[in-house]
Amino acid sequence: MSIILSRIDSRLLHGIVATQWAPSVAPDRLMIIDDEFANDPVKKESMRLGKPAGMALSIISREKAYANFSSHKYDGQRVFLVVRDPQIILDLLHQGEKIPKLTIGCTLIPETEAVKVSRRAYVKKEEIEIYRSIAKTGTEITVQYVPADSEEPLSKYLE
Amino acid sequence: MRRFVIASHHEFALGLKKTLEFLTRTGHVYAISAYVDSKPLEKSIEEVFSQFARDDEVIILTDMLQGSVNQKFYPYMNDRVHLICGVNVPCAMALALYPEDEALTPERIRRVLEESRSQMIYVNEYKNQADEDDE
Repeated sequence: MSIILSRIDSRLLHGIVATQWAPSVAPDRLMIIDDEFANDPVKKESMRLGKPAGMALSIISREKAYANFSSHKYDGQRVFLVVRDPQIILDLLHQGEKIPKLTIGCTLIPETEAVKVSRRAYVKKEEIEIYRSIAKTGTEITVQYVPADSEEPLSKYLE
Repeated sequence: MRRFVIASHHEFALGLKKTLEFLTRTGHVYAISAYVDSKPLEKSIEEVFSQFARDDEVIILTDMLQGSVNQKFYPYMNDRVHLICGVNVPCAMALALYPEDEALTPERIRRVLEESRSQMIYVNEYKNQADEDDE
């Protein structure tokens, strides 16, 4: 077992993820894959303030994450993955990782053409194909900001 | 000059600023209510800090440790810029009423936090205990 849940969240590790999602998912490791935060020591250190109790926290670059998964570093751990870019999810699937589920939590309000999928989230036009490819692998994709929100399938919004 | 920056998810910051001004008549309180609109939080923080002088003493009060709001202030911390999270009214009041000619050293800030932490009480039980001593 490795990735048990993945999430799209423009704020990555923040209050809602740390205090609501992480305790309910209860992984062994919360993993943020993001080059901007992984490669900037101050940003990375600030984000570490959000570390929930009782689990390891990784804030790592794409390159490092892909290499670590390839070398089976997290086999035997239950990983909750949070990213901003769905391409990362697709890349991991392409290199053979199993990702049973992807939750779209929140995104920025795009300046380009996009589909609104909840009060908090949009799918940009150029991301639609990425989400379709993810869904084709069998990964369930839902939209849900906080655990108390009702969970909607993404397919409801993307036809 | 001593400045207070209160920042939170939504309007707790604005409310605490108003409460603080009502209780203490302190000036120089800046509220940042994050995520009420799509304005990036970094920009709101920059705008507030751009009004400050280099030797100003800045006390930042945020809602919670793990929140993104608190995280965004992390790069601003230094000897004169203090970041405190999980703020409550007793804490904000004690800091606002602290004599301005006494610098808020780490030791003094720690003491204020200990006292304000102790002001969070389950009053049902507190009252019962007080009753026993009463008569």
